[in-house]
Amino acid sequence: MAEIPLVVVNVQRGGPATGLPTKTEQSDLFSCIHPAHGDVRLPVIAPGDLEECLFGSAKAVNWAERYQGPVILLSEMVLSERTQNIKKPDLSKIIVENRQVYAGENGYRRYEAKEVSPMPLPGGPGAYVANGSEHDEYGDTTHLASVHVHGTHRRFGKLNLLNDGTYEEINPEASVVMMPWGGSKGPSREAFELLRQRGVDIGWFYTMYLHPLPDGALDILKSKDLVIVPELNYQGQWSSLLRMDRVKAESITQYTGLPFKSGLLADRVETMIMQNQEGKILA
Amino acid sequence: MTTKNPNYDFKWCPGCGDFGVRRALEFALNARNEKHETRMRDNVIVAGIGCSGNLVHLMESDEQPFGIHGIHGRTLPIALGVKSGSPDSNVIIVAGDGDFLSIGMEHIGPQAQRNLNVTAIIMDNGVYGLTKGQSSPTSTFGMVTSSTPFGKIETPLNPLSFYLEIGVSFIASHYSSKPRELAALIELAMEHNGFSIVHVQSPCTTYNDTYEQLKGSKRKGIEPGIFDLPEDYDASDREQAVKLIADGRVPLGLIFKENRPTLGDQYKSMAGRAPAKASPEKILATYAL
Repeated sequence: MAEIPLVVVNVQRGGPATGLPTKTEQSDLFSCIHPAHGDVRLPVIAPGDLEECLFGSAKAVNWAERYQGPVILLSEMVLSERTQNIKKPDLSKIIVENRQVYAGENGYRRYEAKEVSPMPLPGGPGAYVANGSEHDEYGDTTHLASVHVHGTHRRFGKLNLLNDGTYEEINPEASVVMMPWGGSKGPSREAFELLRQRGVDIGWFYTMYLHPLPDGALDILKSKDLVIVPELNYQGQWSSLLRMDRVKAESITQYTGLPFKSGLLADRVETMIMQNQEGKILA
Repeated sequence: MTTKNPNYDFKWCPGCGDFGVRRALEFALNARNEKHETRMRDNVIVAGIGCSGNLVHLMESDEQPFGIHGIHGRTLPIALGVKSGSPDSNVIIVAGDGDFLSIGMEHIGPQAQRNLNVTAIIMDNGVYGLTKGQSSPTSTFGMVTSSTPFGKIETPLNPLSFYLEIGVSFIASHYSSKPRELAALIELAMEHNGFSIVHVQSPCTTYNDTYEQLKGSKRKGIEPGIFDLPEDYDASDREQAVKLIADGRVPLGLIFKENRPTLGDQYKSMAGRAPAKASPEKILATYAL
């Protein structure tokens, strides 16, 4: 609401409450994408391996500056305590997007534009009130309907600036794809390789940019007969969010506090594909 | 409505003590800017939620200070962020007893221990005015409010005693009807290198009108609830401060002040001791592939 760039890192563990403080789980996705009361959906980047932790964090900082609001970097216990060999990262891939700082006259209408506008900084010109209440273009509190409508459009409109994420796709012709997220990427990828060796016709779709999705990603996902989401929670949170966007998605869930075992996961995916052929999934 | 923004629709009730506090803050900021050759834009006002916090929108002149009107009770975490990101700014908190001493109370201890170099101006009216008169931490025992129709059953908080115990390094107390005197105190608080609180009795004319109790009334035989500090009062003496606060009435002036390093001072000295950071290039040079 006040439009201040911020990156929040959430390292997930088993919940709710103190829950399983030393075990892993992917159960905070709902509360990260919809983290507060009110009409809000926040940007979320969920890295799946250590290399992505580096590039995802850099992207999160850039997104926060571009979006001028909170961006959530969603990690989990198995990632945060992992040791992994990675190739030397190419730092030239990281582009620093500097803050747009306001340099005009005083009397600035900070919140007037439909989208993002440069930020005045203390000590510089254009002093205003960064306001957590609904506010007019100066930042002064108002509850006028037209202002709330404008503010809501502005807040959701800014999400369109963040569709520059990337995704991986293997076997794009397949009508059924596996789409893990976060720390389940590794075991899922191994399960995917096993399934391919067994001759199963299945595709792979992966991105760490969960919200907003990379440009074009949603169209690809919508074109599939079934998107299988292995995830470590009871509710099937990512597949639920995909179904909100009219993707035919179903989860393979596990809530033991432990990561997936790839062999068992491959078996469960195969079972789900068979059930789908029998019309039993998303029926 | 303000001069700058005719569409701003917030109103304070006639006679609200917060008008006096706003004037005092304006005097103090102007005086400070003149003394330090700074401009309004070098000041940041962090506002709490409530009638008091709306003060931030009424600070207007050719050049207004920066303001941040965040969420209920969180003025101190926000101020910590502002001061950390912008250490040269003069950071002022404006909040009420409901915001600062109820939901925000847990934040006072950590910032007192850190001695964060900010100034908090607390407007105490003993009631939640904006939300129509519910009981607050400083409402008196037995007070009938909209949330305590049969009388408040909790013992009220003594804010000055609380500040002193929890380690706030500058504590002053005053009331809203003397803006010039209050301004001098606020200026002194802003000069203090550390966490300073100016606790102001700022009556709510609608839900808890305490003007008479504060000023007293000879006709009605009401003794004034405010009193001046004794002439030989020494604000550096903690014991004297304890005795003064125990009086129960509202002292007018600087109650306690101690000098110790601020969070910023400690941070700078730590930065001098910490080893130099390894550059990303240096770390990457260790890769074999």
